[in-house]
Amino acid sequence: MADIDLTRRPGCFDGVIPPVLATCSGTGVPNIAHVSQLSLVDRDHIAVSNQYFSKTVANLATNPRAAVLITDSQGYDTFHLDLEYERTETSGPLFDELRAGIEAISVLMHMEDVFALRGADIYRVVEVRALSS
Amino acid sequence: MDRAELRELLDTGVAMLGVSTDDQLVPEAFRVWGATIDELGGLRALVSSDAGRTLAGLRAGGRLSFVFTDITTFRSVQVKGTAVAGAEVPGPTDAALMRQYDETFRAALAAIGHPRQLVERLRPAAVFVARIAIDELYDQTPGPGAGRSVGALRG
Repeated sequence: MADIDLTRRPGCFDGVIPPVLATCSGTGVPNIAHVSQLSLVDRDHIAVSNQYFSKTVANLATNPRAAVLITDSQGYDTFHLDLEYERTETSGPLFDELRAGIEAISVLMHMEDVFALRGADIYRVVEVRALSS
Repeated sequence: MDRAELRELLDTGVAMLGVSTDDQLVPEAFRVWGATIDELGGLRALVSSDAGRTLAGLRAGGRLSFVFTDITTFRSVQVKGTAVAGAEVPGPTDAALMRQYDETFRAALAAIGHPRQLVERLRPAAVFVARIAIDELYDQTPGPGAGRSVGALRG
């Protein structure tokens, strides 16, 4: 359950400051990667764009725990989210929303041929912690 | 990739982030505010003290990963390694490394249009030192080749 209300933090989900996603294999080897797009599903769930994250996919298959660092583009507060992976959606409104966001970002970055959405990974937000920086 | 190439990348104001894990395999992500390659080819990273679980749990043999990203070109390298010691208190050379990183990262953020206020808010209130033996390097630059192993660090 999130103690900090992320619904009041739209700047965490606008893609201006890229978040990072951390996972860990079943044998204890951590992995970290930038992600293009996060979306707030509801107060306790977020969706993460899955693009080329083969290591992330492999890790989540054996260990659903994950974490993201997100920075609010409106005021620059940073938050650490403990997450638990629930499922991946490959179609539907959420997938379409993430795909539209990624297409917009890829145009801005001149990387239209590079970015492609494979799925919208849905995570339950276990805990939100504001960083002191 | 050799030591000089990685050291040069770390000196150019790249975004620095890392992750550790605890005994229950729960990852903790954190910001790094300066890193370099030491004389033995190990990574010396100045980790934000916001990473409380990492600070408390870091010990020799613990696994960590770091991603270093040039925010102007998106070139990105992931370093996977093993801690050689627990968390250490920064020394004078670390303070100099922090100042240097602050300047170069601020310049990189400014180059892509971010205001000065951003770096002021991202800068950790305090850091600790994590010393890492580098096990593997991966190309994380966005694209189909992301995640490609580039082998071990060469001397």
